[in-house]
Amino acid sequence: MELRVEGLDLLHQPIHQLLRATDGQRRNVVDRLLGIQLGALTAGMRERVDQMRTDAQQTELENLEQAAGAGSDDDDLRFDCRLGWGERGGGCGLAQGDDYALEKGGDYSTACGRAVPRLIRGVLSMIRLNVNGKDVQVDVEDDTLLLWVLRDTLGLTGTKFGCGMALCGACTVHIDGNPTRACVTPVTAAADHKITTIEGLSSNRSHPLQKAWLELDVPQCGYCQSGQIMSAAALLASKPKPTDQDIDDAMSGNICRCGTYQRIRAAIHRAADMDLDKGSANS
Amino acid sequence: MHTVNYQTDAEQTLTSPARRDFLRHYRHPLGRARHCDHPPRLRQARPHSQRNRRLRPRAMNAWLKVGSDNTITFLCDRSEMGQGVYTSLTMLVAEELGVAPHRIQVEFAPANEVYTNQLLGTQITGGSTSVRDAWDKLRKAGAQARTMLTQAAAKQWGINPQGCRVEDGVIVSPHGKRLTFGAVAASAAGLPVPDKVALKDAGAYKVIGTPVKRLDTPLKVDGSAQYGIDVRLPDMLYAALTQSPTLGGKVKSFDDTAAKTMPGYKATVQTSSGIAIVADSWYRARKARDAVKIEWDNGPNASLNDAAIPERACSLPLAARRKWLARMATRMPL
Repeated sequence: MELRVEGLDLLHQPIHQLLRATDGQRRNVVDRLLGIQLGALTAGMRERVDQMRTDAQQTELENLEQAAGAGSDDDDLRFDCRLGWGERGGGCGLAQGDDYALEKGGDYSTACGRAVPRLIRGVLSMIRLNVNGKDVQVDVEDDTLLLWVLRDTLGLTGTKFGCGMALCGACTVHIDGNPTRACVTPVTAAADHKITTIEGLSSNRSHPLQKAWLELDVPQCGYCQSGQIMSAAALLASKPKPTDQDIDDAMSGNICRCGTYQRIRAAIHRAADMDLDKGSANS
Repeated sequence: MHTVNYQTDAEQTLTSPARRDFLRHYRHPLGRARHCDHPPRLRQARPHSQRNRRLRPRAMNAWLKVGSDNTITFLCDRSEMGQGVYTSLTMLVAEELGVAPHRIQVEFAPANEVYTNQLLGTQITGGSTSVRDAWDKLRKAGAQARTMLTQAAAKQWGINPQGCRVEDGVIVSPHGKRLTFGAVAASAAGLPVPDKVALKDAGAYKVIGTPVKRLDTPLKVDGSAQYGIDVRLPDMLYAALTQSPTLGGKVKSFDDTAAKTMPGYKATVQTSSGIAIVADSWYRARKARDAVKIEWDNGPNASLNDAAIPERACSLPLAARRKWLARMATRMPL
């Protein structure tokens, strides 16, 4: 089994061309390359893809894919094989593959899911999750996507459904602190990892980003803002004092139809300043 | 506006017949579609059973309720879509009522003729009409409530309401006696709603014309704002729709045998332009929908594409072009 070349080739295209791709092509890209972060599709994308392709470890990737595909049919690969690119191991949107990514320790990560304990296909199995610090068990088909478990099973509707294809960022949650698109992450990939949603960012809107968002009245319609804030929170966790460029890189996968980007950027800077203020006040 | 080939999953599944009808109506008076995919319902009213009867808010008119615990509730009759009506309309009632806007809780109004947007002829939000339509109406609603509350307080004091004034939710007598809105809410609600009320001169505005922080921001930074997609009703079912890949296309035949065996499946519904699968969760509905095999009759627009649309439009005389594009627009997958 191999990744369809068509899918990878599309990633070389500028984003507007990807968005103009046919539905089938886009599905292919998204279904084949689960967990991708849109930030990675813009700046430096070509470079990273090329790097990955020429890298000797590409062989390993293929081996891993074969391993993941072994014993399962083509459809299963949709949910098991996850790829990611990113500056930080954390930013690459891996949930299942992060052990592998850590082993590699490189600035890109490639991994395929560890063998998910699949029972008979379609059969319900209890899946253990840690959401916002609480252990919960959910009784869903094991290929259910995390977003729907959060929204429908657990009632955490703050995480939004936008495109369902990891293209818009409205569904961004943290898995072990990494911003991840819940709309393409199978719930099994999140099992036994720490999941944080907007509801868990703080109990009283006290996160510096929430305070900055309030101060600058960032949202308009607000539909994308949970995802925006979660992406920004992951950024600040890894870069407490981000530059404009850092913000643009980290946030480019979160689309806002109202166009609140300027205020989002200003609010991230504001939150970073608050964090520093607090830091200096404490020291 | 999307091309025929560019229709995402989300669009397919969210394009319900009701929504399309809504958008059709919506376009008509405005001439263009506006951003209204997920009109939010921001605060949900608590069911009556959970409310303390004594604290039951008293309706002053269709827009304002005052509780004996001094909660003031404004029923916002327009959709908040980011344009800010949640705040701007609240400012209008706050101005005349005599309270700071942030003291007012906002709920969304139910469907009722009283909430008709007079500029568009139905209860609808769009065309930058919300504040223009509400300008007199909501200031009057605020003034009515203030008048009734003041009358109730004056009655309690046995004085003429003329000399009383309102200071941020408190009625003050000429001799400095004070009663909160909540204290007189019940008796005020029993008074006739005055038809004629005097509205403030623009020079006396304390709220209108001043910068006010958005009242919906807190709900939008912690995920608690409720959007259409977040509404949950008892025993609610979910539908996922596949629509014809071409404009005006129809289902020629379909096979939902596999879908029927899938978990949560409830029903298959054929629409004028596609197939909807109903299931007990949206994700299950979508999965079952993806398992339906559909053969399409691509109809008269089978060969229509991005390039052909401007070509065809330009080949038509202006009037016919407008008509054709308008017809296209209403049938365009949204």
